[in-house]
Amino acid sequence: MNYIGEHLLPGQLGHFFIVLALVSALVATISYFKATNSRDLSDERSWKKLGRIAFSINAFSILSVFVLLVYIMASHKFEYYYAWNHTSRDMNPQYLLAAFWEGQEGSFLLWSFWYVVIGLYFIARKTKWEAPIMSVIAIAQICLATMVLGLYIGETMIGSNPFLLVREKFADAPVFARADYLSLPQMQDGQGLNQLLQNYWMVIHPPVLFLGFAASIIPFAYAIAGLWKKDYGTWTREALPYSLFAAGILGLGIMMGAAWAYESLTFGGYWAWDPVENASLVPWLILVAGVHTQVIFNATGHSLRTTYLFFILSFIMVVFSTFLTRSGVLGDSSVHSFTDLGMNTQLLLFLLIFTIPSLGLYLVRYKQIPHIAREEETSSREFWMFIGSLVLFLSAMVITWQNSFNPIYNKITGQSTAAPEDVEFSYNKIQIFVAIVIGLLTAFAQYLKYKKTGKGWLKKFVVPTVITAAICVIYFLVSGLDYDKKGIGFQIAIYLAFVAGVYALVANASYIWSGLNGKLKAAGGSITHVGFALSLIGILISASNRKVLSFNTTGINLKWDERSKEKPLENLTLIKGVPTDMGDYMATFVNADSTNSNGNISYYRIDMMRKDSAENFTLYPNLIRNTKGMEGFSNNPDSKHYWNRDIFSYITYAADMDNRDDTAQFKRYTVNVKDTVYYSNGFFTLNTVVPNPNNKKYQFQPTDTALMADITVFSKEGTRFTAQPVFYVEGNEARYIVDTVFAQNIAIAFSRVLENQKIELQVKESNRMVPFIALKVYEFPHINLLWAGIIVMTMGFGVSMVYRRKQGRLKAINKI
Amino acid sequence: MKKTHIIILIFIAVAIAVLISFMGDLTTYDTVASARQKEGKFVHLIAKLDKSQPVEYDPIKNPNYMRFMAVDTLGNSTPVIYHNAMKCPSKYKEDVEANKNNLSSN
Repeated sequence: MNYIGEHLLPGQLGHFFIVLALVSALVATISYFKATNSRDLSDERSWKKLGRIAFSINAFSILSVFVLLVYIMASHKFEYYYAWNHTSRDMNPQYLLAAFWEGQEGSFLLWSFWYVVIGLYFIARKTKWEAPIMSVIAIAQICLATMVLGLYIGETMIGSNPFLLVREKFADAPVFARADYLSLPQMQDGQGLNQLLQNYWMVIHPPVLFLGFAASIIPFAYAIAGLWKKDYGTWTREALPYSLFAAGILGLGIMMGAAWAYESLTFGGYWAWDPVENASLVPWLILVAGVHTQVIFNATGHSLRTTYLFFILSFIMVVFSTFLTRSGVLGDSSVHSFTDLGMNTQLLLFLLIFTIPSLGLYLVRYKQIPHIAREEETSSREFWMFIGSLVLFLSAMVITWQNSFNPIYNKITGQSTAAPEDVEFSYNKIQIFVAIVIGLLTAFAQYLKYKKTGKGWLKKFVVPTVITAAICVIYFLVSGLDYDKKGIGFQIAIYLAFVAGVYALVANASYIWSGLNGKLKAAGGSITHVGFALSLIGILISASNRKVLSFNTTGINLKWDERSKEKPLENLTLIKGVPTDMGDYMATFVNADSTNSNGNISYYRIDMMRKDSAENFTLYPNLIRNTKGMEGFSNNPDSKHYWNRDIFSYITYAADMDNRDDTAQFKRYTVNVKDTVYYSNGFFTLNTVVPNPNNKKYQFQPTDTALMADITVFSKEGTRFTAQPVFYVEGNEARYIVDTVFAQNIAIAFSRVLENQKIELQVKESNRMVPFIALKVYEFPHINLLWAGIIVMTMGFGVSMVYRRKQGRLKAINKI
Repeated sequence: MKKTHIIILIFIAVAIAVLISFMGDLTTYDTVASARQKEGKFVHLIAKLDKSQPVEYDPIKNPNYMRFMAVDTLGNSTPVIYHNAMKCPSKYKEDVEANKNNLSSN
């Protein structure tokens, strides 16, 4: 059939470039492989030349694929599944890139794009390690190209092609029987970007994270190059800036993800030990361990074997994390694992292609890797740095085990083991001790000297110790750390970790002056440690002292199942326009507003007023209707940021979330004073009838004709409410004012005056009385320490990188 | 034996001990029927919201109480009481089938 209106050229071009990318990566791999192994210099040169050309073609192809796919998405070519599935016309153009990497194909392309950048950089640098490094990168490019290939070999699909058409994806859907299917309304717009990803962090977090993932191949490739060429110890100086770069960027990328989670998810924090988070943390921990052993080796000649191991494993863990999060094996254990595209075997192969040869080579060459038989002095810096690296590495291994044991064990054995009852605590109770040890080691290791430390070092340590003690004592007296839910043991551990964090902060900050005479350029390590310590302190304070502000203050007595471990009462109902007591604040739900054209985002304006001062501010948490055919809404939090705390709020329920119509009718009752009327949740009694009431609520004059029924409502729960409906005459017409008891969902009207002192009351029961929301509000104290710490840490990595690069160059010149 | 080796051994021993205690904390995925056999134990239950039954949630009366019926793959159902408001359960998992339905139904 000839379909009308399809634009097939960009897709055909795109797919051609994917195939070209694959082929050129293969050629580049072979050429660079030959170049690495050739003994003849001219031979090597010609192979290298071929490799460069092939890699350049690969680079051009990947960039073309990137541009073509962006073009298809930006120009709303909804005949393409990727555009149809990930974008929509009303999507803000700034989220185009977020939509690009929403799908697996886009994120593989992003990853491949960074290898293009890294590869071109190494070709331009003309290092003597170019051939082996580029061999490794080219193999990675082969693997990534197959992920987006979308070719069938027999029954097996290899990769998922981002240029697939909708009619190819859903070949059996009846609409494609029509040649003009593109003119149908369902093809005029796409499914849109997942509402949770419509956040600026989602534009920037994936590129940074993937740059970190991609950059971790550099130390890996250097290590492989060293083993391959049997030139074991000469690459480490040259490679140090790159491993610092990889660690810095990966750390930043991970924490940008945490910032996104904090801003747009509602688990009430920035880290949940979710498998996806863990999978990216593990390579970072190993990479940081590797950076430290690399520094040790450069300074002393120790720890080269460990450096190899750490760099090889950190990259393997990057690929393993890809396997874990994309293959769907995590399935039930993660709230946000990616869709299973049916590429498990392929992902497993990707993992094995890197794991087996690299670890095999490492084991074969292990004995040849130079090492110093004499042991490090206990007073030496390298000894304690090594211990620290070891702790980081083991921490990574423990996390890996906890993270992947269940899904893999279940997959293999068919068992149904599941995560512990309190998942977060199962990690926290281990990592808190890692934090203590790492904090203390970070504090004092720099004060030691390489090889051997003389006696005087403790003196330099006196001032930081005194300052640390002072800060801790003051903080503990003024504020303390309130987390006692897990018992006194864990609380003590939190206190210890706090002390260790402050110690690391103070000791490293003062080392910049006492050890380095204030030379900031050389202080990259100390700056990074200061940032790390700040983050640690920020995490401890904000997580331990997190406060729920939205405690239910309505006085409704709730009965809890004694076995329930849920913390009750964390949601507070706010009725529109009624200021409600919320801890230090009075909260008022003012109104709800839709801002975008199709009304799928509603912002709820909450005015917060402090009780003890005139200070007030407004929060706008919102609800976004789910896209992609999912039911329901997603709640997006809003925070008020102060320098020392955040007020974090999100909607847990809004009355207009579901459009149940109010079909309830008024029922009539004829009553006398002292009569009782029953309703579904209790009863009420007419106490008296007051003529011309003049109180807070009504101001009638003695000349008016008005009657107020004074009613007490008794609910089943034992609470009492007052209702005061009014009947009055105005301009010879009978009118009445309904009074509503919101907490009981009843409205009572005084509708008529009857004979014999009887009156007619009308009662309506409905849960649709008035707009209201249920709100959850947290206070995160000192969360800015965490974010500031991350920024300082990243800057520290940058400073180190520049310094080490210069140092490496000087060393190289000195050798000549 | 070098002291580094001793320290490594101690750390590994600690790590193993920690992991063994972790294994003890593990729970299981259950169905409604098998979960009923384990009263008082913490289990993970994978079940769907039973849409034929009403969801009881009335924030005006109590924003911290939700009751609904969940039905597992074997068709057994159980009431669920949740003392909190609902969180969004599926994050960015997409439902290809739902998309396909959109294609056919509009």
